[in-house]
Amino acid sequence: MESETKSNPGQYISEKAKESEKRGHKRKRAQDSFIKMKPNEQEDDWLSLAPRCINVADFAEARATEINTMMKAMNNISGGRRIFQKLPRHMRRRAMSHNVKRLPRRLRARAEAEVQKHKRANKQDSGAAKRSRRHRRRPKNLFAEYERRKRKHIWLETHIWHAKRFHMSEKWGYKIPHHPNEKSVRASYRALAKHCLIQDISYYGVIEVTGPQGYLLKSLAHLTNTDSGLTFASLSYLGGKRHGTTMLYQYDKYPYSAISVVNFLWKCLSCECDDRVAIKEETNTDAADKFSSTESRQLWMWVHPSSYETVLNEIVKMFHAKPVMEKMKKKRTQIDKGSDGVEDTGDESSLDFTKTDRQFKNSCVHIRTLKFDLLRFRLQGPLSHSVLLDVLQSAEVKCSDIEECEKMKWWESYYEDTQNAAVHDRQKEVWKNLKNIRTSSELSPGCVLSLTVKDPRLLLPQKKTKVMTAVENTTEPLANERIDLCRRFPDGISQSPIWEKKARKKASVEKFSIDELNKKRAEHLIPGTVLQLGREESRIPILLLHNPGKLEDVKEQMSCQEMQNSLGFGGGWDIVIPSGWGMAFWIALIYRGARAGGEREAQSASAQQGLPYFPYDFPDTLAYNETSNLRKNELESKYSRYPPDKRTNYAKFGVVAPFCSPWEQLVVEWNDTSVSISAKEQTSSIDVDASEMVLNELKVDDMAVTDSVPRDAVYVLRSRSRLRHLAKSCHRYKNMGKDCITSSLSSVLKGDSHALVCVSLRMVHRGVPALFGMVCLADSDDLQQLYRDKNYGGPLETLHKDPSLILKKLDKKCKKRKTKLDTEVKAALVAEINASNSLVSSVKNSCNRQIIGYVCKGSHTFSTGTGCALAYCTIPGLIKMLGDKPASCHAVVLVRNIKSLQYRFAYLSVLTKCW
Amino acid sequence: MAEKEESQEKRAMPQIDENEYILRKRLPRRLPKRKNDIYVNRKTNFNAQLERSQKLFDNGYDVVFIHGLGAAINRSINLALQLKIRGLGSLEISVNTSTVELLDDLEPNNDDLEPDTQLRTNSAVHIKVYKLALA
Repeated sequence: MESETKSNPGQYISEKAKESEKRGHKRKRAQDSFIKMKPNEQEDDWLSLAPRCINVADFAEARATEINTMMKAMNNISGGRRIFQKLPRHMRRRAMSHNVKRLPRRLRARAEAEVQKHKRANKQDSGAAKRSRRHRRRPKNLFAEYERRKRKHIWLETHIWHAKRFHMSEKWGYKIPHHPNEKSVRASYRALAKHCLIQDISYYGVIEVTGPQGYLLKSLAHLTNTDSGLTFASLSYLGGKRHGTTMLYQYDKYPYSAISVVNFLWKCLSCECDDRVAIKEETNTDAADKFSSTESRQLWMWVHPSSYETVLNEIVKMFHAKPVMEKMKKKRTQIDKGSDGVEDTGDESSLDFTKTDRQFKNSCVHIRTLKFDLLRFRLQGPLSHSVLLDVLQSAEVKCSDIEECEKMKWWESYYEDTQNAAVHDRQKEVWKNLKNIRTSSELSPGCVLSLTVKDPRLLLPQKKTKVMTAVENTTEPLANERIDLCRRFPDGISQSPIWEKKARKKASVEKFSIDELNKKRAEHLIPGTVLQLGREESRIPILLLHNPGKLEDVKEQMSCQEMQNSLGFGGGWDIVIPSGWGMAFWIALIYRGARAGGEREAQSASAQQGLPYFPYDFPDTLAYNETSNLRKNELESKYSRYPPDKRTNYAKFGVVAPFCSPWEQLVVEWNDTSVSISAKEQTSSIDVDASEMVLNELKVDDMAVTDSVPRDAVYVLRSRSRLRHLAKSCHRYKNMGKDCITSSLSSVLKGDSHALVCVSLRMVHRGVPALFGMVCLADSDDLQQLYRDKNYGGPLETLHKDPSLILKKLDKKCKKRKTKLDTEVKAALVAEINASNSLVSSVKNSCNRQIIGYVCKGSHTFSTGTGCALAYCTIPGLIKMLGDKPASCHAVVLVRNIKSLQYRFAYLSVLTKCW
Repeated sequence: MAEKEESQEKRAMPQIDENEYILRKRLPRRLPKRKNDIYVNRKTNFNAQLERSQKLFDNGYDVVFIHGLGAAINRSINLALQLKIRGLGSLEISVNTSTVELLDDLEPNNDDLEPDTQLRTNSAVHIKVYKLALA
């Protein structure tokens, strides 16, 4: 095809080509080659530059890919659709997928092929799953399927019960119930405050350490620090009467590198009788003695799954222990033992305790993971005591007539020992006396009781009932015993067979099967009465760990009336049972009216108590970093899914970090400013505010003290004494002067300028602080306005400018006017955008008020009726705030959420007990 | 439950070294609660407490027991008297006093101390407000 034109369109074409070249269209460039230009034509005639002819083959070739995609698109409207779905509407017929003949003839062959393909695919990848429902639901197949699904994430024993009722989340290698499907936020709170809230927290794994006491204590002292509270070596816990909680750090790294909060319990000293315990106690008061004792002791540590491996590795490394191949060895010993050993290969494989339990050993210390051996349920609320009293009944362990031929039950062999039997009798007595107590908060905090109880399935009520405390069941003569019990929880009653692996396992294996139980029930003469199985009945060793709930220091309470919260809130019992018994106990507890909660409820319970929750509220731990990174990715991806006009423009709100809290940068910036101030001070002798002076001192001290640690290493201040000092200065005080407070603070907090402090916030008026909310310093103007007008809501942040939006707008304008954007302006804007993206810009001064910290957890709390939050603040920021604070007022800061411009006032108080 | 007067007890109690122990109060004993038992505290709005007790009389109870512990004694007496005034001569009061034993925990601050408890007593008042039999 050839065309001749007199005018000169070539100019136009070439210009267009140039433009397309700029855009990077390669096709157009190729076009130039086949558009043959006629040389030496008159220049003024624009038609002369028009192509004379078009070579069809070349023309098509240059557009080959486009034509190709067009053809493909025509053939195949969009992926994943069946052929009959591509028909225009008027040609569609009912049941086309079922009957090929309903399609137009030209499409039948293809439809047939599609059907065959689907059949094949189904057969290949999920043969069993596509079997009939009846086949799939057969117990054997169902359990096989469960086993398969368990492989990826560990299931709790109550998994199936929860999976039917809860949203499950996959976290830390477990399937963890997150929250119930029913509307239950307020109901769960009510259960917590008035009745009983129960959670399955079996995902807390146990690490068992056995070894000589002195050696253990000396070694473990490297992982803990007495400054941050009571440790493993505390006399409160060493006797095994109480369980404790402590913070673990990496070997000798305190205060840096925190690992995890662990709950621990020493095995009770095997007391022959009471007087020996008494002697022991007398001698134990000597501190040196407990470190030199060589008695073999057993320690259990409950560790959150997010940090389980880290803790285990740290402990193993510390003891230089070597892993032990357990399974092989154990089997051999079993065979050796013969009659004594457990002869239940079939049962064992189905229960599968030693799935991945590992052991480590050195010359004297034995470390064992008991991830699958023990379950733990947490009961919180005032009626948890009554619920447990109803569920747990001490079993009869007197073995009266054992026929020789019969195999010994675990409890028969254990309680043959008269001492053990005596302990059991005492435990029984104590449990009986505990019936006179209405709530567990009357008991000494953290006490431990162990029991051997009856099978809870036998005592199940006919219907689900709500256990309440009986109105009258106290009798006067018991009053003294009650007082004794409350004052001094008896010694030696935490001794339990649950500590012994063999007993524990046998207790699980010898479980009376539910099938047999039902058969017995059917044969039972009087329905509704308790089934008496005698010797056949299972006995289960359990541990009860007391949780005191919210504790308050009398001193703090006095000085801070506003923060007063109900004492003992969220207290209750934790129950530890051997594996295999989870569902039996769970159902029994639920049938007594305990309300089940998931992880969300656990978090909200800790929020109501104003306590941090591991790992979300421990920003210096590895587990926090991991979870916060996960959370960040999740939030970011969700944010980017929304169109720009349907999501918050954080740049406009002046929020630098909407998806995570930049602790390191905040701390570094607060420390840098103090240096710059000091430099300024040297050059010009202006009077600097007292608080700033303090900051400078702090900084200088810090530089002197900590040279070896990295500059941006952040840790949380957990030293009790220093925290108490800080907490005191947050309250209103009358006698002391301002200078006195700030100067004493500086001396106390020497070298801690890189630390974060856990604070609790309570809103003064309105507002609910939320995650990532910014804790800011209030101006003196703000404070004065607040003191003048009691209803003053708080200042507003001025709306920021978003450089990327401005750039977009300018671009649009330029396009409309067909002019070019000034390169300098553009470059400046792009630089600004980059700066804001890379977080290089200042965090501290990113909005009108200086940021001193971030909220970790914030919500409306029912217990106070206001918004409350848990936040971490930098020390220089806190000191500055306290320096400006009038003595007659409680410390007040501003809090702003990431989705709001409104600052709100909040009372700030420092938490002294951080877990 | 009722609040306790702090400063007075402090004087009576042996001094505790602040560096060694933290004093933590335990809750007073939880007593059985019938429908017509009213435990007075200092936090709840007084009028609300008054209305609650009044409602019991209006709903057919002839007797209401008002309990107050420690600093809440004043309030409970006030409550009873207000009820009596409201009753316009139809209500009568009889007062009993008692002593309640309270426990405080001494939580050690360092590893070498044993935890301890201390027992102290506090006064309580139990006021029976009852309807007079119609003569």
